[in-house]
Amino acid sequence: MNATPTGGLRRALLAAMLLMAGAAQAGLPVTEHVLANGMRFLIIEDHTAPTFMGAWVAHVGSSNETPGQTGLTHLLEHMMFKGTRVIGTKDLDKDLALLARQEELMRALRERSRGLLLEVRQGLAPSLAEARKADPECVRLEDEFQKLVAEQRENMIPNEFDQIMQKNGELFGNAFTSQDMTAYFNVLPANKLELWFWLESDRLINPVMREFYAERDVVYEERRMRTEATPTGIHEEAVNSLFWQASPYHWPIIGWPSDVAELSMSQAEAYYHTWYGPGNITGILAGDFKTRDAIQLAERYFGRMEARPAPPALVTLEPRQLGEVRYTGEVEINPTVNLRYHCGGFKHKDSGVLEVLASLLSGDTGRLQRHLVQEGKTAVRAWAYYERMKHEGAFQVEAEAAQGVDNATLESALDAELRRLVDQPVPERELQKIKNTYFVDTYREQQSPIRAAFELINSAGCGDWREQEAFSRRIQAVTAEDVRRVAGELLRKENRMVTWWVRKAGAASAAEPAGLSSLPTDMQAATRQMLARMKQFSDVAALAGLQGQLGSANATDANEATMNRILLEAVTARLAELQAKGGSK
Amino acid sequence: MKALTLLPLASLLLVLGTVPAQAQPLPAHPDDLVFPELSYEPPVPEGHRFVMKNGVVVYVVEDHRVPLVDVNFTIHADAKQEPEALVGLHTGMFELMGRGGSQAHDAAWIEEEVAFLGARLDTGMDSYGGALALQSLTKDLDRGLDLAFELLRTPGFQEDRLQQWKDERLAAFKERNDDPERLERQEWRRLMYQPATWRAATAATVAAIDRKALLDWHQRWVQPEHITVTAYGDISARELLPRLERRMKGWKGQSQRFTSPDPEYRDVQPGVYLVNKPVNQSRVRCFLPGLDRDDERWLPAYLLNELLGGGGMSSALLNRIRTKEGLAYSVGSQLEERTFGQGLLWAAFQTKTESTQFAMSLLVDEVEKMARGEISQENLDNAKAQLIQAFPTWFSSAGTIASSLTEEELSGRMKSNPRHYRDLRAKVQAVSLEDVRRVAAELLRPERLVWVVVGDATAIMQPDAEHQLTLEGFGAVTRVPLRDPLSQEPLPLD
Repeated sequence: MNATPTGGLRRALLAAMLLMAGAAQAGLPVTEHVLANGMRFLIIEDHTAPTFMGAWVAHVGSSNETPGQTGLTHLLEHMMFKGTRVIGTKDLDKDLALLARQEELMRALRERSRGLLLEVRQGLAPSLAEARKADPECVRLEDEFQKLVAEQRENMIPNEFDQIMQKNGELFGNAFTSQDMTAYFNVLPANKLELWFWLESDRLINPVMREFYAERDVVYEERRMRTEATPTGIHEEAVNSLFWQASPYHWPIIGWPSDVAELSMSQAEAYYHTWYGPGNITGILAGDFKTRDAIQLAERYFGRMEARPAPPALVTLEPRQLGEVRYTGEVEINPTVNLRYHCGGFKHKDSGVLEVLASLLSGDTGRLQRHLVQEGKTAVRAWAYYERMKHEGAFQVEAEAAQGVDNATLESALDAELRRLVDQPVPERELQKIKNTYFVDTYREQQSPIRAAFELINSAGCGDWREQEAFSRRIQAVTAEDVRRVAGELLRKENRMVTWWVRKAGAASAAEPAGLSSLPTDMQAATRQMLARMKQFSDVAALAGLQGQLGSANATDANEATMNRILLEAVTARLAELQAKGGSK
Repeated sequence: MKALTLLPLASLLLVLGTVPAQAQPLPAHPDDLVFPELSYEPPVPEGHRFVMKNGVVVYVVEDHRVPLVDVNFTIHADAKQEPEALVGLHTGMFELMGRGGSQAHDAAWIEEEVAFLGARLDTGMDSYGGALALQSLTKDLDRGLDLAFELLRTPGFQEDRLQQWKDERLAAFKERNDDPERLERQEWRRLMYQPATWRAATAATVAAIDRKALLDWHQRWVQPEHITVTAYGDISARELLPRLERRMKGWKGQSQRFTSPDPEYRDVQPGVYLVNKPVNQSRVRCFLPGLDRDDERWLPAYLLNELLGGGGMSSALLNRIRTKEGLAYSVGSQLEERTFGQGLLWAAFQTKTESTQFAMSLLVDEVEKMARGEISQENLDNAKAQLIQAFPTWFSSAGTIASSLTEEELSGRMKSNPRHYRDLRAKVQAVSLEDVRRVAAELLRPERLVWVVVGDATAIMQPDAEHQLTLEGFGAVTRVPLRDPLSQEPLPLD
């Protein structure tokens, strides 16, 4: 691919014209309908198969939380599956009375905990949970609370919402919470359109937050699974909170553990009233129905919701970062370098250029793969990604070090690659290649109504469902000069955070003997195998014999000498270990 | 998108033309809703199935909404037959077939061509062995097919790409013991599979793979009699078949088809197999023998699993361990549906170290209850309703229709039971509570449970005084050593 400015460019332009020919591209065929109470509906009628996806997105994410209540958005998402005044109960009045008494006890428990919290801060108790266990009044309140929970269970129909969805043929249904949005979605057979409207409007109008406190424990298990019991989870949480200074993106979506442990049902109810008004929700339907029917049902079911005042706007803007931030995490993964730069978000005028920049670097034919992995052999894997969030953006470049390459060398190689984006104009053909991929991607979005609905969830959730199409247009308009300008503004040291992941020494992945990684692959493999076997081998006499052989061996080349040295060191260490244990068996 | 500006107006007119909102009372409960009849007949091969001159079967499902065509080549190949010294060869061949260039062109050149078309051309493993997948704009299909056949028939396996692949494998191997989830997956497989049918690749076996071995493995499997084509999107059979025929000209193979590409399971001594990973949450998974999907008890067993843990939030394990006790976020079970041979019935959850044994005891309790026949007619009716009602959603796009037809072909069920999909709903409807109770008593044998637990071994082995439990109470405890990530030799236990 020798793209000389004349021949290559002409060929590229010709190819580009051919690609575009005969394809006047349209975006998703969306019908928009807004109810009198402000709730917006986005509807795609598609009769490909007798099924549809129904979804609604609440324009609230973890970034709308306040300190001390982090994790509330996500916990509220869980609570929306706990039933309503109709669903999930055998006797509503009894249910509500029990819930009120539970909440009173929890309030008393929190009051009581204030003094205990002071003990934690004084360093007199290891944690609030431990302090409560040691406090007889807290134990009494907790016991009384558990009795009420047991009583309420007798009166409940657990998970009835899901049961009804399932027995009516739900293919899948779930919800997610991000920094910017909370979304709920289900795929159902085409004849169950009204069921979706019934259940979803009911839980938006009449939620009852049963089992709030047991669900808080479930969320803590979710946190262990996603964050604490993973190789890099808690470090990534720290990295994220260091990257964002002022933006509320800086706390975890699942919440700080000490906050989540103190969240209350009353807080969740208040939060719901603020954020789950019809004007702050977008409904999305895609699939096999008549648009007219969908609108009629929307009016009937969601038209019942009363308009609520607009929730508070997020006013915080991330200040300009003044100096490079660096973090080193000792973790159980291969050595890796991550660079993360501040940039514009969802609706930023340069979002198209930032997306193109990420694509220039990423993928099978991207520059990181070609230059770092294939030619330079400094990385074994590398990618770039533009995080296009609602209020702010982040541009990430990451590479895993190749065998024998250290993070400092890898970081220099990444820097050199990024500098080329600033110093040299991107060749036209390379730019066109990326535009072509995005052009075809807009068709891919339309291959199934489910996929189209997810696109709408994301763009509506970020505040403007039409933005996705504007974004595609912006990508097609990007010039080589745009790329150079934005790269220059973006890729500055004082605008970034550098994270080094270094491997923590541990039993399962012992530190590498010096020189092992520089051996040829097959020799390395054989050496490793012998090292592993040696750890299991306990025959002292045989080991001593091997030690003698290795000590007197004459290597024919440098690699063999290295291998002999490594094995000799290992034999010697193993012998010492066995002798320390005192025995040969 | 100009048409869009008219749409709000159109929708307003639609609403004005209908009955005013809230005129009729809404049903008080969703069970009071009356739904329109949905009559749905599943796709049949007629009109979609074609056979090429060299015997290759092609499925075509048209969908002209967007100008995209997908053409997938499924390649039957048996990883079990890999030479012991070259474990990883099968994966390597299928991954490198798409990334290693062709005999005519350099890998990078092909990749650039594909990317410039905005197309996709990938190869890799799949449940039948391997696959090559092409997706392109309709107008570029010929170019895409040229490149696809170049890779399929004359792959290059060029040395630099082979070396790159080896480096990637080695890097991935190094992380084998790092993530508890990955550790759990590899250790349960090592335990449950017949060693002769499943082996872990090591640094040494990957290092021993050379270009010749790749070419031989390719020659052995990537032959017309092992290939089935699934095409869907903006194309008709009339347009596609001559294009395929032309490119398959003179391509005939010699080897024989085989049946199962999957590793086989073995009988494992019941008990607890404990893998040490000092984190604050245990990953627990337990196994019982399952059934062959052609077994006459399959549907009752399927419904039983839905009630136990396969049916999401309304299943017994979820209700008990997650909803009621708050002990886990993810809880579930699965009756493994294998195309060939008997699968497993497994259940799994993750819970904080301290509650490991208690959560395990709740799982056993639920399994015992079902084994005793404590299953309600209402829950069974709901599970049956879900399966029957959700049936049309299984065929939600041209792609899923095409691939389900191909599945039936490849698994042989199209021949053995051509009415499978057409009769399925009636067969589900006919399953009785007695059928499910009978299969529950046969399958759910708590004393046969094989547990794999990954977590903080020292803490997990401590008795749970509060609930009067010991780990030994779940069967003999075997400590499973971690393995050297590169050689897979066992490491010392402490």
